[in-house]
Amino acid sequence: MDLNKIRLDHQIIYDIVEPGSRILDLGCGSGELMLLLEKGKNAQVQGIELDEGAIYQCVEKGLSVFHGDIDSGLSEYPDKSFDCVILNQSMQQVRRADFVITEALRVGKSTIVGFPNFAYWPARLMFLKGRAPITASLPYRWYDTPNLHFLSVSDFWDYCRRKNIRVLRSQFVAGRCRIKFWPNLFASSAIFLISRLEAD
Amino acid sequence: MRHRGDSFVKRFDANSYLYITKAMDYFDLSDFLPAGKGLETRFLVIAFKSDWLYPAYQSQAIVRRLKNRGCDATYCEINSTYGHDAFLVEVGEETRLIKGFLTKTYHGLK
Repeated sequence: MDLNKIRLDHQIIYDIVEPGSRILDLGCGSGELMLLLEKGKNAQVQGIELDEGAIYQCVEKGLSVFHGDIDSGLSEYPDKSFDCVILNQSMQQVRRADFVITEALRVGKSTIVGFPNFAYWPARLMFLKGRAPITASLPYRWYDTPNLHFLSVSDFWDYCRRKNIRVLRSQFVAGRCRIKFWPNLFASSAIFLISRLEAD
Repeated sequence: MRHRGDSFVKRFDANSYLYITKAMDYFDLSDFLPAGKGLETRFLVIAFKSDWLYPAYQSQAIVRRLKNRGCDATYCEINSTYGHDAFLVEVGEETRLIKGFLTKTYHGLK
């Protein structure tokens, strides 16, 4: 498998996931990341997805998926039943983001959250010009966007501090480049590995 | 309609309906699931949005129960307006799901 052909955010998540772990992908889409983790990391993956068309694609890939909403919670999963819960580019689209993150942290020993950075410099420029930002990671117009929450990298750090969430790793990207310097300005997307502070 | 009704009554005892209904009401899948983890069976549960006889929330309850026991379960709710008869009509969607599911199950066994 050629890792260079894979989306950079998927590559970063792939590197974080331990081989053989139990994974729950919330908002798994058509299942590319799940398939990657199943094939390359021998992970036991399952996903939840709202879009019916995407569910068919997942099942055709041989993946186990639940067709439903993550906003209503994850009551069917006992505490810590997964090594890692993934919320990649889906957290900003759920109605109750705080509740969903809390649930993800409950059922997973750790959680990976990937989201578009609203404070990315091209977005700031567009905003200064008086327009709602449209960037590579926020490609929608105001009338067709599935995104309900707009946050920056700094906002997420602040959220973790307020909620006593431990940040184990943070990685930042812009297009196909990794961003090390001033991510709140230069990163179009962020990926955080988080866990509960009282994690044992 | 009357003719169909008459011929049906001749070959079917009404009491058997009572027994079938009772059997269906008392059937509980969880009686057959072994306690704890380790069940190798994979499950595919399909529901139809407009089916009022077997509503989707009941199918979801089955899947939640399975997941709670650590079983491998896939669930899809097909958006159809054909009600309970949707399973006879939405053949294309069902085929895609069952085909993908069986292929994976077969390869998993090999």
